[in-house]
Amino acid sequence: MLVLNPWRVRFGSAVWDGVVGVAVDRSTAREVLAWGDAGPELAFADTPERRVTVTVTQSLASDDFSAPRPGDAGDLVVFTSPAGSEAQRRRVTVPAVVLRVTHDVSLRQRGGSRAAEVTRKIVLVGVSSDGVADPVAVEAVGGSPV
Amino acid sequence: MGSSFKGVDLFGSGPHRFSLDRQGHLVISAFGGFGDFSPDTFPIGLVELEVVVTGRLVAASESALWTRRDAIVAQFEDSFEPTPGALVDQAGRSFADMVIFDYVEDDRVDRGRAWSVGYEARFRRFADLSGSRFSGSGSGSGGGGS
Repeated sequence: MLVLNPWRVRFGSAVWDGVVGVAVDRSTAREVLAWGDAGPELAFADTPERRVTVTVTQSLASDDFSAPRPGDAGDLVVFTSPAGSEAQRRRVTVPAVVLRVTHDVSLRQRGGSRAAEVTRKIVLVGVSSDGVADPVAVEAVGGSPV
Repeated sequence: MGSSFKGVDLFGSGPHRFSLDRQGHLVISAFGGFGDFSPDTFPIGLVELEVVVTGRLVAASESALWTRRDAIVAQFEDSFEPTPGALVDQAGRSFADMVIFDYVEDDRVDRGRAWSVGYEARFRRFADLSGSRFSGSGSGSGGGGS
């Protein structure tokens, strides 16, 4: 799942500005594969341990001292910005824990001067409420996000 | 063709494999054992045949998986003289007079698309199931082969 240029992104009580993309990746933390005596092909496959990784990419224009810290927990709420009608707006909610925060600073030549471009990546892992439910909830919402 | 033990399909819910443990003579060293120091070794008889079944029990629910696990454990007899039976692998090879004597599961039940658990079950053709060893009159000789 990928949300580009979301209308608003919140994590707990904080509002994250300048978010250019939120990627929700799903992977297998543990896979079970089993073969039998009948032949060479895989006879059983399952993914009993799964992982949802959310990467939030922010574009920063100035100093910022409010970066989250690894271990911070809260609901990550992302409101999409659909190109069409507001009826298509969706809210993605993921109870999550911050794993790491990294920054990438580069210089770009603009006219006769150079300007810094700063990108912050916040990587979170989704946490299920009971170990069974999907930590990612997508709802259709109308009106303005709160 | 499915595998069976005493005519009961214990392992057919998931992929599984049959293998044979070590066969041949049990060899002992005479080093210091007979009042003399010597590098000589002595064969004292054939080891008992041991068949190892490894695989994964698979079920559609927690209770259904317990039913399969319990069916295996129910084959154990709390007796010096357990009743042997035929163990048949998936290719139809039959091992007569086998007794299940060991069953070990993996460290967790996997709950993904299905409920499953890996296991190793060991069967042995005991040379003496008369219980006479414990009354002091056993012969103590082994035997191998299938």
